[in-house]
Amino acid sequence: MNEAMMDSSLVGSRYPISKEDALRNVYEMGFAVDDIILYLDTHGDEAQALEYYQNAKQAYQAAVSAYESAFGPLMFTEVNANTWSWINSPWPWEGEK
Amino acid sequence: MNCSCSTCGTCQGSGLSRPTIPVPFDNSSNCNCNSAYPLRPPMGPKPERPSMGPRPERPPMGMGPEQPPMGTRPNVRSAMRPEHRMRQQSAGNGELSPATVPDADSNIIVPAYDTITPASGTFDWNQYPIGMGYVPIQPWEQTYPVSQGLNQGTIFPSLDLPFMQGRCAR
Repeated sequence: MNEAMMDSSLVGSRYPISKEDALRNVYEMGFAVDDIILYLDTHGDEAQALEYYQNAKQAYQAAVSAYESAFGPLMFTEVNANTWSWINSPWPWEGEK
Repeated sequence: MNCSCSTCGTCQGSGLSRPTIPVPFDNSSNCNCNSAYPLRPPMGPKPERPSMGPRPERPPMGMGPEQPPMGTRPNVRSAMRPEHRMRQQSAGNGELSPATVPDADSNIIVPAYDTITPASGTFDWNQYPIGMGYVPIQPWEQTYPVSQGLNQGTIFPSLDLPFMQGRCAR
């Protein structure tokens, strides 16, 4: 994994983590993916940027999986249980419980 | 975070500096490019920066001499906002000379926008300095850690710039 992502490494003793930390990992990796995508829009052949993108994408997917396995789906497309788990967590207007 | 721009005045000392690009412009000879446009005349010496002087008293509402009588259409200049009217200065011969907008933090003299003459629709572009735009290509660099990237709004240190002039200052 890219050295710059090590602080957000999704392996080892950081898990289990709190819901807030898990969500922050999703935000951070998601933003890194968004930003490298913008860079690649104008530097499509740059190997280092493509490598960063691959690493960031994997880390983002890992962060999403870590959150969803512990706290429920982030998107309705990730509802894979036999019951409708989408409504198990608080709605946004209900705040955190 | 700091910058050394000369306009905000609050961010000296970070080592950033504006690039200085010499622009050779020779009016003395014809370049033989067969351009349809004539050579521009030399700009001449830079005009003195006008002193602002004391701010004139603003007449009470409804009492000003420029207030048009009821029922008549006001002319364009008297309909301007007061701060625009103040930029116009008399040349002494009864005509309005091109006024300037002295920027408090800059030595650049820029003609006021309202020196456009509504009657003729003409505008003397020679009063403006030449401008050049460029966008350097961003090079790859060691990125921020992702937590810092989210905090700063970019993962690229070279794009993490101090936007101090607007309301976005951190």
